[in-house]
Amino acid sequence: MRMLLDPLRSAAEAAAGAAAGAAAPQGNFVTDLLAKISPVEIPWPLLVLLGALLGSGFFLLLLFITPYAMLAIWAERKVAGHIQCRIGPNRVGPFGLLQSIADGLKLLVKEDTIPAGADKLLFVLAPALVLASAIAMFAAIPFAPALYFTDLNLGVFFILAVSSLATIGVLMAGWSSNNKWSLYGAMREAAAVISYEVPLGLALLVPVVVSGTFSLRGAALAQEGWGGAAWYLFRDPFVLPAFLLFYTAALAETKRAPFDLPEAESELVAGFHTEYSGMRFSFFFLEEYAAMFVVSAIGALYFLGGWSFPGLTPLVEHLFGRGWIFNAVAVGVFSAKALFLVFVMMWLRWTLPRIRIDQVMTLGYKYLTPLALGCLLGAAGWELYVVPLFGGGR
Amino acid sequence: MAKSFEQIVERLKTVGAPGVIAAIDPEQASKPDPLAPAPPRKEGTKGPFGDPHLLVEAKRVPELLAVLRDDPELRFEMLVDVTGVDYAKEAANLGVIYALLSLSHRTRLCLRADVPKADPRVPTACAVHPGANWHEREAGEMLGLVFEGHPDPRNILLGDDWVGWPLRKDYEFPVEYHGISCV
Amino acid sequence: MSDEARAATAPPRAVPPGAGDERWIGELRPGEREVLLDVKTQDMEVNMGPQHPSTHGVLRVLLRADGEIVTGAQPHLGYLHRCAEKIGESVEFLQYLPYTDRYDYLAAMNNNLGYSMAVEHVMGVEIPERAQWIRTIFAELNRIGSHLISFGTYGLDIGAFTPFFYAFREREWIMALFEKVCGARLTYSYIRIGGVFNDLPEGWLEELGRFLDVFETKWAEYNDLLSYNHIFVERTKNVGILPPEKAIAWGCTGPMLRGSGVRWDLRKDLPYAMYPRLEFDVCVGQGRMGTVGDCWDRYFVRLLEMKESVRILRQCLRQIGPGPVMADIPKTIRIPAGAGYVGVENPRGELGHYIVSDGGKIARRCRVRGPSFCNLSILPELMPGTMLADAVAIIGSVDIVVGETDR
Repeated sequence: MRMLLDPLRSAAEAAAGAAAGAAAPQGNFVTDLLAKISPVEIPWPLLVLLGALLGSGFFLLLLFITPYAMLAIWAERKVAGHIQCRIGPNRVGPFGLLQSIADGLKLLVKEDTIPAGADKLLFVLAPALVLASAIAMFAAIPFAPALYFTDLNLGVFFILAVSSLATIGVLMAGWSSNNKWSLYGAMREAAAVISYEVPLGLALLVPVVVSGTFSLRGAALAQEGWGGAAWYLFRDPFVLPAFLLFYTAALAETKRAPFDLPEAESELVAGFHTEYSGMRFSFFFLEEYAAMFVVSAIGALYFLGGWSFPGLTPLVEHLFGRGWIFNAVAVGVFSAKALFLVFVMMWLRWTLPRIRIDQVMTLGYKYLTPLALGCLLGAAGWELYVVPLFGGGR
Repeated sequence: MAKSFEQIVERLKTVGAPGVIAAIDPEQASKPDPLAPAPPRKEGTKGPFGDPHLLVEAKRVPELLAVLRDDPELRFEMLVDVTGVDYAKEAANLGVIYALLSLSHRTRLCLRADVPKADPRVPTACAVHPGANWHEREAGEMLGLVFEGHPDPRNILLGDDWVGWPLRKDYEFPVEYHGISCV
Repeated sequence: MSDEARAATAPPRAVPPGAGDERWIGELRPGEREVLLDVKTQDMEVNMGPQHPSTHGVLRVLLRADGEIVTGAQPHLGYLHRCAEKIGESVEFLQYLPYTDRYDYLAAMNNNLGYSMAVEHVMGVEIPERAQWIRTIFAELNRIGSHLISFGTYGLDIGAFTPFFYAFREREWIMALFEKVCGARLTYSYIRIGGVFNDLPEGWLEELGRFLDVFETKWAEYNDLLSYNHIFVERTKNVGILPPEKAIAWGCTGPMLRGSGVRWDLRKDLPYAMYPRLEFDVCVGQGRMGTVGDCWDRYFVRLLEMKESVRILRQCLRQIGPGPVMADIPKTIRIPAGAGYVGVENPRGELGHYIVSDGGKIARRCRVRGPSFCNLSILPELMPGTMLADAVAIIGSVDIVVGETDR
């Protein structure tokens, strides 16, 4: 119960900190920003209210997820094009950048069909649930030391828990569609997520053990430094394999190739979203790209040093202090790392064939889970016995 | 290695293959009545071209196919094609054609079995060559041949409720199908 | 169809080991005891097709599935039936030629060749040598084009999108080469009864040489990208194993037969056109990744055949000489009474034409034996006991063109 209350408490603390007018590290960045840019002092109850409104999912959706997803879809098509000796979208806007907007408009005005035999309530609810989970995941991602919606002290677990909500949405979609192919897709998704949550969680526990915190922001702050040697990736011999395991499991979590069985085009037509059209269909799309970014962001924050970059971020900090310039650079560095991981996902998708469902299960249970467990034990042992040898340790 | 048609006929005689009626030349094989004597050829014309056929008894086709397949001198392992021919509107018989291939001896052989249009029944070859299955289904729906003992005698290319046998010469095109006009 | 009829026509239920209920309850091995479960599961009937991304057209396969495991498969054909044989006995011999383009529309040149050869066989015509060379060149070039599609779409079936575009890049060049000769990109009607429609344009053979040079380098790329990809191998090895005896008994031909290790190629064993004067190997499946006759073998035989085709084409380029490209035949072709069967090696197997002529302008019977039709008929035998994803892999490895199964 305490764990559940914690996010609320930290939000309250953030609001209180913002109200005090201090750039407290616990501050919500919306309230923080409002307090800073406002020429007159905003009374704190109003500030909290504004923060809550603007920091809500709607604001997130408008500010970040939709533009990001549109850009990512454009990038996916461009990457695919170049991998496949094509050009990719190049008609709408410069370099086809506005293609996603055109497609989004098309999806918006498309007829929204519900199959005759569908379970209407579940059918309508499913995309909403899926999108809600995508938005909620973003809430816990820190983009820079002072730029985050909320710094949950169980951030990574919150994200994992919320991302599983999307699975329920997918199951609902597949079941309610009254289509056997959709049902296949939904069952595959459920099977894959249930088996890959375990190695994913275990692999993520490795940097948690190393950093001693569940907070993503805390972990990223701990990896700052001049040379990049503080990145957890280089911390001990167990983190690198843990990162690879995490990334593999993350591919399965986000239904990306070679684990794209739930929508396996050549087998299940379009899998769980076969019967969806228009905006509801695009919600699934949005969720996929949002989830890709979130897992990549976790990878960047927990393994690849967050927003620190050797030479660059320390220099900026040295020259300008930890002000807005530093935060802006940090956002850039962090986004670049996360987007690189997203790019690798795209690269893999357009290179690899698809794995069969029994091979997915074998890989998950027989290889990834024991290996992740081994990494966790190894990292824990390293922290306990090896680090003190060099005078480290807490 | 390769066997000539004459060698095959000779060998079939030697082993006493069941059901062989006669060896016919390509021109006879294209006639409704293959055993009728051919009109004398004009001077100087070459031919006839095509494949000589083996006229066989329809009732004993599976036995003959088994012999052709198993005899070490013949070894027609593969039944390449089974089809039917309606030679003319007024013809009394339908021809059933079996195209055989010997991988071991690199030889082809065509069999022709005649069945009366009034009672077009042939025993199925599926037991000897399982690959005959779909060919026989097709010949059945297209020409109205009845392959007795066929494991799955449904229509294959046409709908289940198709009326008539399209490749019969007396077939009349339907004017409508399920309310869809065909003219 | 009524339930009884369906039950009567359904294939015998084959239960894969460990997945079934009835079989192992009945048969107890020593040390086992009977456990009766109160759970009744029902096989699901899933319609794969006629509109499905990986049935390569409008094939419909009625699958019975126990979860992810396929327990039975029943192909339903006829969605693309265009009465080719009926048309064949209604139009003149030459008029029928464009219809041959349309059965295996990915290898229209080979279809033209098969039909022309059948008519010539019953007609007894000698074909000029240059025409024979040109026919051989086009048959092989179209074989490469057809196998490229097969390679690309097989990648799609397994889930790899990129090889498809690589294959189309090369095929585009082949199409351009065809276009220069006959003006068409898909349905050529270039190989005619008696020879070919016209002679090659200036510089065409040189461009073919350039294409072959480029293609050989690309061929290695395909292997790097797909053939030896670990996931691809895992998906296709030991899947859909077709033993050689079964392949022969079911009348499978082409890469399907050679994938099972049977060294049989009409170009080599019953040679036609200029093949007797050409040197090439017949590629067979060797079970390099798993068992002889699995999906990977069938796939790889096609890749190797592309390489052999390049070899053949190079020899053709060296040996082709000048001469007429059309035999001296009348505009309206009348064929003396006769009947004959001619089979040629199409990319998908033996394309057979059985022609009966009564001495007139129109055939009395024009039977088409499509290789896809026969290769597909073994599908119900290969499917039971595989996973749903394997079903896609098997259909892809059979490499059907529905235009040909349905004609």
